[in-house]
Amino acid sequence: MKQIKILSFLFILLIYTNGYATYVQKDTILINIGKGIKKHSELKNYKKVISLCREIIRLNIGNNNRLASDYYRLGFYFKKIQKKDSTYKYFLKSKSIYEFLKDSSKVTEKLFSLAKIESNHGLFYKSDSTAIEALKYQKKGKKNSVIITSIYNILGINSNEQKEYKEAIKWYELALNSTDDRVKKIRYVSNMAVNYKYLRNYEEAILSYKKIINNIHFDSVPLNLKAKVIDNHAFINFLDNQDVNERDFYKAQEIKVLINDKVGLIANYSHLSDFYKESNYSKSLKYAYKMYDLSKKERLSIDRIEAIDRIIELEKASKIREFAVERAYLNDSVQEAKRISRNKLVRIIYNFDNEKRERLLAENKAIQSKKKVIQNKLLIKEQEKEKFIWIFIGTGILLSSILYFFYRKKKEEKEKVIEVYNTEIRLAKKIHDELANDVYLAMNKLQKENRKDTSVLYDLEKIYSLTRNISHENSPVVTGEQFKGFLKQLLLEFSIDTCRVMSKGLSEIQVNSLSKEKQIVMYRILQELLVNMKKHSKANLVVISFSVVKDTIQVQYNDNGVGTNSLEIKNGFQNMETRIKSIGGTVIFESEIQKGFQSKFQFKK
Amino acid sequence: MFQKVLIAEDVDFMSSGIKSALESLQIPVIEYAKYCDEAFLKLKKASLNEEPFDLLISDLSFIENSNPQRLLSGEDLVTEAKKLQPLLKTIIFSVEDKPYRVQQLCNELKVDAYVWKSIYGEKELKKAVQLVFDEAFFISPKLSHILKQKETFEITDYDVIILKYLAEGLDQREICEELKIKETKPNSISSVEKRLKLLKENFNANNPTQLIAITKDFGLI
Repeated sequence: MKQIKILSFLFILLIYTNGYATYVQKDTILINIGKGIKKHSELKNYKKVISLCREIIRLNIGNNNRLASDYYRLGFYFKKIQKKDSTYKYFLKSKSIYEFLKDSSKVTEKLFSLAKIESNHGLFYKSDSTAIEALKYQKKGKKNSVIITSIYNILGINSNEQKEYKEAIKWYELALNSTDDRVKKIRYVSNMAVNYKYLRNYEEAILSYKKIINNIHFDSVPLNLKAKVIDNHAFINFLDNQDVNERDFYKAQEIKVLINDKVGLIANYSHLSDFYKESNYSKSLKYAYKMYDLSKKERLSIDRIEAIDRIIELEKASKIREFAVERAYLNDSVQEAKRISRNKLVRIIYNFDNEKRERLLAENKAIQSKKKVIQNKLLIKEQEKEKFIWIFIGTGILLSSILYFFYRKKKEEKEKVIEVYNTEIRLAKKIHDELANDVYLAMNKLQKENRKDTSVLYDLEKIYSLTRNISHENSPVVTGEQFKGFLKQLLLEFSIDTCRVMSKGLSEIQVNSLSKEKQIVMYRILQELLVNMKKHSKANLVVISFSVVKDTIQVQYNDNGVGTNSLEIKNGFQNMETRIKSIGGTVIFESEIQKGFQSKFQFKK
Repeated sequence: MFQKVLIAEDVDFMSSGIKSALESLQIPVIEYAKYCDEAFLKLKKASLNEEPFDLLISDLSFIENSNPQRLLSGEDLVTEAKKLQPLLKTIIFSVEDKPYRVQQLCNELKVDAYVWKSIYGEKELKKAVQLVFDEAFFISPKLSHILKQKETFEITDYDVIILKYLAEGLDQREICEELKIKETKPNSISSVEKRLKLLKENFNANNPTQLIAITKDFGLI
């Protein structure tokens, strides 16, 4: 039993190791490299560390979480070997990955690191904007007052470097208020004091220094800060023409020597040189030379130029020339160095932005093509659907506009018919009411005069009957349900002893259900045909046949009169054509001399 | 004679001939209204005062008034007046001679007389008033044909069928047999004969041959 257990255990172990061999293998390698980095960094063998870091990055490609910190680590070790541009490059990569991962606090951190490097390279504007961006990110993520304070500090430094001292003081004040760290607080007050000095507001500067020195924690601050404060305080007292304890300079010097603060010492020498300038020429010159020697040794060109400036002021004329040449050369190289360092970084920033843009573009392309392949079917379906919808909408719009067009046209035609009709009946009424009545009255008058000559009276009667006719031809048409009877009446009116008007099929075509306009047109055309017949044709038979073919009503008019030539038809029947066209119908006329007159008109029900 | 007459007339009734006609009839009360609404109000007022009019003489068409009128035509007035006063006598005195309107007034609205304004208008009106008073009907002789008119002659499909048979050379007896085969009615010799006679009359044909010729010309067969 025991053997089986062991065997099965071993078996499971085997599967486990096999299944996860590669995974475990990779992890082990990573752990080993991590150990190597730690070991070599302790030994300050940074070049080895950097190559190990690169190796880790290669292994972690595809794992953004790890890559972000890996790039930062790589940048960090480049900083150790003073390769700031490389540092900057990898910090930037780290930052953009964190950005992608939406890790706000990490992005803030990296932005701060970048702002610091930019500031060091004299790219103050760029540094400002990076720092501000960091502050914005900080607002999104968890509050990290340490980072905020540091960002304010960087902004203060940038302002100071750009000689915006008031601005610098504001930033330091913000930094001061955002931290509880006593040492930091003291450092920021000290920085503010320096800016007050540049503003020649010595009073404020002295007050700031007094605040620091009187602070109960002053004794516990780091020695470099302590020395700096003592040194600067003494110097500012000197600038403000206050009582200066000479020993304060030496006390600061002692500490600086002790902690090997070269930069601090250069400042101290410059202070002493200035301090003795009036009172002790040889001491002043001595410190100027000390300053010059140290800055030359430390390759701090700007300080060296300042030292030379002091020497030139104090030294004999014979030595001045040499220093003047050196100064000019130094100044040039300082500017050049600044320019080179700045350009290097600018190039990195620019390249990175470009790379990023290109990479994003490529990524987008890749994603899109991938999406395309995957969603091809779906897309086609969607497109078809969309296409269908558009076609549907398009056809809908087209159809409705066509319908609307026809509706409008029809309505206009209808209105036209009604308008013509209304004009006709208005005229008819006028003729009837005014003209006919007046003629009648005139006839009456004449009658009463009892003239012997009655020819005028009969002429008037003729006129009277003419007005009656005009009125008749244009009198209102009874429409609707009584139309058929009204139409029959028309045929009857013209059916006199000398001429018989007959109809065929009138009962079959339901004229009463036609629309008002169509009834009017139908009536008027027949009326005109019959009036014409009565006037000119000398016919004694008229047959009017009504029929309906599908949904078209056809009316055939035939008479056996004298007929007319076709030219006369055209001129005489313009009116009928206009009428029938107004309801979308057609009319034709046929006639030959001595062969009667035929007309056929048709229109849709 | 009538004691109280109302005239609805928009033209100067003094010169219209109505006045002299009525005066000669010695009618004591003659009132005058220019519009239908006005005329109707007068009728109503007289009726309420128990001094109703005996006769209404009305024109048909009135000049449009600037005030919209409720009753627009003689037809409207007659209709309303008869509702108000069923026994009121009515005479139309108008220039209107349109058959349809004349028929409507005489047959539907049952006016008692229709006088057409012509050179004989005054004379006819006088006669009309007299006749109406004697409970008779009058219409101007010039319009009398309108009321006598029958319907127009309507050619039927049946006519076309028998005309076709006739054109094919069948005689009346043969036509009847053909109609019987086709189960078309009426198919008796007498009805075919009657119909053919009517057709000949209407088409002014003296014999069947002429009838065929004429109807062919008209495209009926």
